[in-house]
Amino acid sequence: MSHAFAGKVLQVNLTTGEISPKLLDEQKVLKYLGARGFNARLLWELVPPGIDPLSPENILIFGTGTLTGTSAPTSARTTVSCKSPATGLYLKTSVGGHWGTELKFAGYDYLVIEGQATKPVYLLIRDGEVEIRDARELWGKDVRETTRAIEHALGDADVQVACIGPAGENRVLFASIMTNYYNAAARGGPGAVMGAKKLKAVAVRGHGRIRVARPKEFRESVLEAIEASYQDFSAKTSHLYGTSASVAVINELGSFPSYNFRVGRIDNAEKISGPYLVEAGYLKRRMGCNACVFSCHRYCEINSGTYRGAYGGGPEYETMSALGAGCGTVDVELVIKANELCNLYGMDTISAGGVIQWAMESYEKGVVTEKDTGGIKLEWGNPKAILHLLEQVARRQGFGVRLADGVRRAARSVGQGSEKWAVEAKGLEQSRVETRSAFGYALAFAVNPRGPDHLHTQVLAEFGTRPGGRALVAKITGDERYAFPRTLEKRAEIVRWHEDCYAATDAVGLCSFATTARYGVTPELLARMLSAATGVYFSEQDIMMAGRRIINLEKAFNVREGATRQNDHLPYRLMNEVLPQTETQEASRSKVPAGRPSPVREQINSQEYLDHMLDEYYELHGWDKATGVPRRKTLVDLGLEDVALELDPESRGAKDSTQDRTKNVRKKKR
Amino acid sequence: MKDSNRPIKVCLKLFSKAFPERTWLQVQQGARVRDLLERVKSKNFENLGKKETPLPLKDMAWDNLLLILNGCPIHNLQGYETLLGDGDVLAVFPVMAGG
Repeated sequence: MSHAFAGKVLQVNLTTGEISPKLLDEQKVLKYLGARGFNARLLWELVPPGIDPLSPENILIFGTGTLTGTSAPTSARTTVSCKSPATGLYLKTSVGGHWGTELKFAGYDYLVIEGQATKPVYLLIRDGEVEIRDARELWGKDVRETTRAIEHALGDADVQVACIGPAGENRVLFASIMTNYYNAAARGGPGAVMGAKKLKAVAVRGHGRIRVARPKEFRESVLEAIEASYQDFSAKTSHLYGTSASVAVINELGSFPSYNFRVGRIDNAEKISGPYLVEAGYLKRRMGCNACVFSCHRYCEINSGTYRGAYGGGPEYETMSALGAGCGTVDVELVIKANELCNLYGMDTISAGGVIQWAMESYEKGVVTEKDTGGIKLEWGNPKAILHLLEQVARRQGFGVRLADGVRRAARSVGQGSEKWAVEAKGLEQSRVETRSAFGYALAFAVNPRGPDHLHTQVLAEFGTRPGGRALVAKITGDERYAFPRTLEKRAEIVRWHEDCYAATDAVGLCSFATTARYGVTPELLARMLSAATGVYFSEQDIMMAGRRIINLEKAFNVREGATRQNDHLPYRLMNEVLPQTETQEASRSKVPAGRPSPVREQINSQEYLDHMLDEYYELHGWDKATGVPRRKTLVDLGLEDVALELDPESRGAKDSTQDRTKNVRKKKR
Repeated sequence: MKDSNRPIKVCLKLFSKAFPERTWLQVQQGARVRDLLERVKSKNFENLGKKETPLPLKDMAWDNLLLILNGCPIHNLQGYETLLGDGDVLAVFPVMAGG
């Protein structure tokens, strides 16, 4: 009998209509811990290089965490993986809520969608029974309407629905997949892949249960993990104010991306903060994902005024910056409304905000005019413009047609130097972290296989603002002094530790708020919970090495697609423009004591700074410095012999020759 | 030349609620962040971080506070021993996590 797993993988081919439940090879899954890890393995095996991400050849995988469905704290995370239509590279995106737990209760750990339906369909999974159902009636409906229609049709309000909105149907390259109305698998455009497959929704209902191998030991380690999770005081502030708690803090640090990353500060940022949502009465209740001990999700509603009746989950910190400060506004009601629209249409708020603020700056500079926009005045903070553009993007109408393919393609089509303020790398709009003021983050964002984004490797510890973070930096580097974000020193070590830990966290199905963003659940505790749940022994080192195996496999996927060191960079603006400092910030720089690691001269992610960190990072990983390609020995040591062989078929028994290997990869591309 | 005995002025921004309470305080030359925090906890500032707020800063352990001096976390400077200067702005938050 399976322990921790439901024990099955469900493969559905939408071209042929074939539904194939298969027994899960648990040993193989555990080599990659689960979810993000096993998804990466499946992608490597099933997605040949060079395919069009929106073609039937792409696959869409929903992978539950190995601890999902158990009482392990924050264990609700599900990883959605595919080849990204935004970047043409590897994509994993993680989502919380209750959908993944329900899938396991329904008898499946993994759902793999292949092919493409000829007409809109949705998938219904009920306690092991699977049907492909007609969804023509649902096509065109938004996320709320779709979810409600399915609940109504099944007469079951507890059915868990993952679906796309009009943005996904229209293949907007930053379309999300929404679960439980508000939880989003959003970055990189998985909704567009689902839309291209004409799959409107996956509805799941299950009554099964997940058994663990050693219940007493598991329970003890879970209780210990819960206790540890509460050690950091931010557990409390997260519950009270959610992720947008930190808006005022980050603004005070001068690192709150505003006006399309031109500045790191906006007046009255407090008006778009978590505490303000509470005090002004917008917050109606707090919610948690399955098995969460923090419950950082909030639900807000507007009861009067222009946007009366707008409601929904969040807005999160990222949304406050992307659709608020980034677009030059601190009008919280507008952000709540814009957030609601993104959730209804099924769009990533970060990228939606990213394209709108690029358009606003282009308008200010005269590169985009009212003639282009059909008369919309794209002035900073113009609420009508923001809401109108969101609608146009989701429906691919008017000026929205240009923006729906993401900011890289929009800037290329408009030209006139607008690429310089298109804040993206690899084709993904940067998430709302000012990497010019934190160099661990800068490195983590540059090497992130899905593009510049925080939900792959969080390195909050480098700020040194909390005791747990300082202790962790001391553990990684041998000295607490390196908990200092404005230096290049030791960033590679700090990033790599967090990469391994974050990958392991995703793979077992926990939330980064339990591990790399709050330090409570250590890799050692993760190992104990996983061992007790599966009955297979894992040490702390096993967990971290599995994390590294995942990182290398993800890297290999991109290398096979033709990615090189040149792809590991940051947006032009951040690499070429210094982040403006206030006078008081300049004053505080003189107070940096002599014992600190040497600070960078300027707050900029210049090529020189990046190169310095990339050299150290590749070396630490055992990846070739010139190309960024993992060396054969590195992959073999991680048990990825077949990956090494595929990257370099001539390497069998041959000595390491990375340059040649890159040529082979390029030749292989279709 | 500055008079070494002349008190200096420091702005304290207490974020116990969404909007900060700003207070300009006089401290002696040579005062450190530690001295200012002691004063926050003292009876002179009972009105700061009012009891009805969910997070009364004055009652919180220092480790649960996030202190930002002129836009820089004090732990990137000299921690609680960081010297205060005339016109400095010290922002005090409860520890937050988000992103």
